[in-house]
Amino acid sequence: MKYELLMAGVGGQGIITLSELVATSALKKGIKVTATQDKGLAQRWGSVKAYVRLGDVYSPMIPKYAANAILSLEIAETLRYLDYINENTILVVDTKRMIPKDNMLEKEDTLSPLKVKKILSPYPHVFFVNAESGSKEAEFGTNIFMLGVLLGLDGRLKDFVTVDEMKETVKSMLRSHVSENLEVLERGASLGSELRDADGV
Amino acid sequence: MKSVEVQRHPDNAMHDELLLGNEAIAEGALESSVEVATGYPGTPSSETLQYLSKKVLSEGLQVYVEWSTNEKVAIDTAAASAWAGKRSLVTMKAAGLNVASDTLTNIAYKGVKGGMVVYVADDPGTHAGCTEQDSRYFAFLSSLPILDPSHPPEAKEFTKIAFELSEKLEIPVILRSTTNVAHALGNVPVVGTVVTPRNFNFKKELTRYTTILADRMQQHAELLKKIETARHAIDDHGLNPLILKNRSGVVVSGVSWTYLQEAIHTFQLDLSTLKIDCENPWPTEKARSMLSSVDEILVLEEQEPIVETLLKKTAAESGKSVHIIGKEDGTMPRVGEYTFELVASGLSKLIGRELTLSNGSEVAKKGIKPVEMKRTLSFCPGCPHSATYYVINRAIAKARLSRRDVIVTGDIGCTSMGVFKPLETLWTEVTMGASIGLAHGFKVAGAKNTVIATLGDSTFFHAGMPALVNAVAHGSDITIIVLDNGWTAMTGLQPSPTSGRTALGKQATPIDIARVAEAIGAQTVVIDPFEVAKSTEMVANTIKKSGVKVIVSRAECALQSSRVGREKRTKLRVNEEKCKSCGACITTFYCPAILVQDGTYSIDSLSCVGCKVCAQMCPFNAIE
Repeated sequence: MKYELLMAGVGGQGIITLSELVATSALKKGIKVTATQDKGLAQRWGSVKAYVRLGDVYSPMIPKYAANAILSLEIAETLRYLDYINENTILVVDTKRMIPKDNMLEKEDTLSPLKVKKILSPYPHVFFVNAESGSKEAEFGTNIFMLGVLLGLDGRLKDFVTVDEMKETVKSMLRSHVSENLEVLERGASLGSELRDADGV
Repeated sequence: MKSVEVQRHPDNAMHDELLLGNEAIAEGALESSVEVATGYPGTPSSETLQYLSKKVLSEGLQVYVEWSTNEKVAIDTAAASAWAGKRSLVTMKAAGLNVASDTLTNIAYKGVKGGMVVYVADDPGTHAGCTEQDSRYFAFLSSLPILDPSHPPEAKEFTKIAFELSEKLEIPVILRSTTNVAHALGNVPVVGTVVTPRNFNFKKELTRYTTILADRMQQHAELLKKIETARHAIDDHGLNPLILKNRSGVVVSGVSWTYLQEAIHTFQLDLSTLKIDCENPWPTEKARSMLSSVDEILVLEEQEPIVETLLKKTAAESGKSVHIIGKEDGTMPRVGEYTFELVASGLSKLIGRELTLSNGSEVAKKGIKPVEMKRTLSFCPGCPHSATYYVINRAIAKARLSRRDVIVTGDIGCTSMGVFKPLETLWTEVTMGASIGLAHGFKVAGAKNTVIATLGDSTFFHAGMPALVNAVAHGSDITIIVLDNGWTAMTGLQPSPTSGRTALGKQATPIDIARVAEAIGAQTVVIDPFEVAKSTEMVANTIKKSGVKVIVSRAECALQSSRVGREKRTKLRVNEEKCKSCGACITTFYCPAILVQDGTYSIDSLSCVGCKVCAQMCPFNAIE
């Protein structure tokens, strides 16, 4: 039994923290973890991904077409990882768009949220979330909110990490704004279960 | 010699921790009672010393940790401890071992008393932008044993074995990892340890520790004997495990072993395997057993075909006609990192059956390809380097020169990002300190152009200083701009000689680059990059002068100053009435805090640190 989680986003969004939260929670439960993160570029606004592999796993990277879930904090970044999606992959995607400086002055954003949504439309389990408004425009914690959404949404994850276990990990790992982050996590999780009930995943 | 005592911390029973391969190596070193750990930061190796210094500070361990000026200094410092009977560790990236190799090959002859581990992290796939250098060659170059772990828990175990081997054989042992071991996270069993210090015990032995009085050829002969002896010691530790199952064999090293395990479990394969934990000394006997038991062998190793070559040599010597596939026949690539898919395709060829996960995936059959998109790296908001490059670009114009003619050489670290759009100041980026040597070299080669070298403070001390001395000593005509942000920022804000603190947080004398440059004999100017007009003037004036000029552009790394909350500056905003949407802030400067949405410019208040460079460059004074 295993669970393979790919996290995607842009440097500075907190991808590495998220991956460590998930990995640590699983480890506390005695689950085997392998993971890798794009290190070194996180602060420099490049694209960042992290693999978190839980359970019966050996190597650090998620094989192609084998992700159980993709958690994406920037809508267009999701498109880099289409070759990890299979028919059961759940995608939880923040609709936030951060236009790269390379395209900033172009007349039209070729990967605007609307266009990305269209590209992702053939996939069966894609959930778009506006994390900024969902987390009540908290100045931080949209990453934790998104993690909450995934935890609430994907029932397969429960054997590896539950919302309550994640709360404990947040308490032990985060150095500041712990209560705010716990609240944001909770809010994300309830949105996640609403989405699940609506979709019947 | 006193044996190593590892005492279990009373509150700390064996438990699993989530550690990077690099951190696991640090734990292995602590469990081996390492007393001195040195290194120079370099991705993907830096977390070993970072973790050690954190541990030392939080647990009050008796371990000395040092971010040295460069890898050569680091290995010299570690060697002295090992000569005095203490266990020492030195860490670096692949390029760093090139710098340290002078001492490495020399101390291989002289040997060590306390265990000494030389940890080097290679980077197949060039995640950190260097070469795909295979540092295993250094084991053969220096005739030293090398251990090559596959995953974080093994990285810890191999570190402990490396210390024991080193002490037993009295030679340094190389520990080598690659990015997907060094930066992989895994469950690592950890025992809290109390390092037991040994007595300092360095004795004058001129025929051993000098070179001129030593019988170097005898030392060489002894070294070769030691590497032979290492075979038995390595067998005693159960390294290079051989599992004979059927007539298809895989000989595998490093992280590839984890992909092989993944494939064996995923596709229910039954294969004979020889895991190469140690390329030097080469496990000839086990390789022979493998060759006698199989018909065909796939070699899996990232980077260069070292295992493959050694295996073919053993095959030739023992007259085995086993078909060996790997890199040389093109089955596996020599460029880039290995992946599960690559390993699966190699195995498909070996067993003659297609192994792929995408089979049966409806989504895969649709053939939707990932979308390629650029997201070029940027200087952080408030980065003084960004300001300095903007100033340099402006100064070139102000000096009535063309940016097409002024050669600007760049260097390693955050400063290298001056090559990106829109600044595009830099023409070259090679190795640590090379900016100055190249700048001087262009002049020697006859450049009539104005030539500028740029490099960071840590890079300046690492290898820039000898080049500055060389330029002054040869009456060169170049301008060197040192972007002094007070830290070794790119690799995670380690202290540099300008920081005024050590790896263990002790106060130190910050070294003033301007005074150093002056003492060397360069004309020296100090600028504040955030004072755009004034600094532009000063740079323009300086580059017009002849001789060797050093401009120190001094302002602390914005990440560090915001992290410690050193300066709370007012965040800026765009005055929409004044903004003409000309785009100059994006096309000539660029800061990630400046956002453009549907032609409207704004400043992200979360990212802005209030450096005010954009306000100074905006032609319509629209940023306030």
